[in-house]
Amino acid sequence: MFMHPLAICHRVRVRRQREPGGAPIVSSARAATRFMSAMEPRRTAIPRPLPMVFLPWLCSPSMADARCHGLAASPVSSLPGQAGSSHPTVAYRVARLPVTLVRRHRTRNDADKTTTLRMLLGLAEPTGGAATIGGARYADLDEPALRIGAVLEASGAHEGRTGRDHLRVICRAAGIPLARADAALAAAGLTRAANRTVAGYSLGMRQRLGVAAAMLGDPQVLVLDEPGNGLDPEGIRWMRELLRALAADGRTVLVSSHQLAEIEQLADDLVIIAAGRVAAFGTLASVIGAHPGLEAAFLELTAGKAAIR
Amino acid sequence: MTRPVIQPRLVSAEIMKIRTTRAWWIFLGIFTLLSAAALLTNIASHHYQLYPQQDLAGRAQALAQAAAARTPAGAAAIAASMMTSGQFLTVLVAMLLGIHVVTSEIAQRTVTATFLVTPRREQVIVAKLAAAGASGALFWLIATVLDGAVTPVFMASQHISASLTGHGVIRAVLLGLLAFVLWAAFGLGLGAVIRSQVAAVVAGIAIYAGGFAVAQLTFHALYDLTHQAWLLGAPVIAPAVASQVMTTPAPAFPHAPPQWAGAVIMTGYALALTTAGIIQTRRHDIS
Repeated sequence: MFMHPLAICHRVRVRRQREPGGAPIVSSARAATRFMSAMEPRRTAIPRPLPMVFLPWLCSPSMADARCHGLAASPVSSLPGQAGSSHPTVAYRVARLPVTLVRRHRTRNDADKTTTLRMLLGLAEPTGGAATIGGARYADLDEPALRIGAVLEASGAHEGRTGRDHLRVICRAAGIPLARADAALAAAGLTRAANRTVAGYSLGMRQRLGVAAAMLGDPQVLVLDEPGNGLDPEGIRWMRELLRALAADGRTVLVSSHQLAEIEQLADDLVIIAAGRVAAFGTLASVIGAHPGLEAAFLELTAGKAAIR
Repeated sequence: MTRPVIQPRLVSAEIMKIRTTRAWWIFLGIFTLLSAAALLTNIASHHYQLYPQQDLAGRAQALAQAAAARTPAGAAAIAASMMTSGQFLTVLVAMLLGIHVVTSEIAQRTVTATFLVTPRREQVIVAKLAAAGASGALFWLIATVLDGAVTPVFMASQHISASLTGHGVIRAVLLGLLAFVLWAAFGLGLGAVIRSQVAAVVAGIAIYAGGFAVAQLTFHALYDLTHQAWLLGAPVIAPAVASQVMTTPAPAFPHAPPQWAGAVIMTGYALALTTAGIIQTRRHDIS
């Protein structure tokens, strides 16, 4: 019933591929570079309280050469409170990572991928275990907006508020200079729409606004749920180049998506979850193995475990 | 790192949220219109109190009331009444704003972004409480300025005089401020507990108006049966009655408890609902 890959773009290994047209992707990531350049003033404006690794299990330098960069996962065999339950359960432990997520869903309609990310970000409480980042719960992080940026919905903005005001509210709450909102809008290509209410934004514009909001705090870690949803081809390319450039900049990007072709172009490491269990994990190459591509590997790895929703 | 529950920057962000949507201007417009309408109604009411109509059936009694209204104490009571015109109705707008502050975040799904920036949810609710309270205080200020501009003109036109800075008037005006803040907190707590915008608005109005009517009818019926005098003051347990008792210098109704009792009960409701709202918000998953 539930299956999706979680993809991790790692700073250490940004894959250099060529698009069908032959242009190298990484070197042509001008849009993403512009995004970060435009956001540059923030770096000097606000000192980063903890200039250290935020997800040590993903980007600790000491683990950089490890085969999966510290990412290894295994199903959890016995979990508290599972006996007799007919509800689907997200249950997996990422070995060597201080992360255990356990949650019994209330209904079968609870999608595990979004819930998994929400547990990681402190928005949903696991019914057992704990979701931690670098050993700490998200809620216990000091200034989380300066460490982890997240895009879980298209924009998360009030329909009746302008794009600029949406970002300014976040800046104000997170203690970020308000001028950063305009820089983020410019970087996301939304300057002309800055004073329009979000109700008038297309889905693609909302995605860009969501990314702009997530990057306000100049975080080292970015978490995105289906970032390609609703984007046109130009938007998809913009998003892909942005994420790749962010990873190349030394940040960790965690993407949850069903768009396997996109993930195959983007990811360094993968976790495939089916029916609330880890079906596969490792580097992209190791997950694909002898299969012709990620889609084939995905379908075989998840065959018989659940139907695709 | 442990942070204080009240964070100025969060309060500032919540105030920014309130004033950056059209809803704020709608609230302000409705409040100003209601205040003006209440002031006009109060003017007419006090005019007929001071100048009873000739064909009034109980003319002698009306003339006696008019004479009493012209004494210094009567004039001061009119001044206090004018300076708090329509408060019984307009605090409802503060309550609705309190509901809106928290439920609009859920309805618009902006709560995800809010809790990502501030995962300690009690800090967000406390900041919203401060922002809603400040907005309630602004409503009070608007009403007080409006009343303060009109009251001296009205009193002069009716040939009565009373100081607007007298103890009774100042006390009534400040208790009005407390009422606006407490009703905003009441609405915020109610919204945080119920979460649904429509359901919270319906419940808020039902508690306000329905609670008032039900408490009065119930305790009067019980009084008719038992003739226990304290039952006549018991309706104060309804929030709207408690608020009325709190803000009315003279007894709001026969056997009404003292003002402080109304203030304690109203504060208790606001605190209890806000606490329940914090607990509910902390427990609820954001989906």
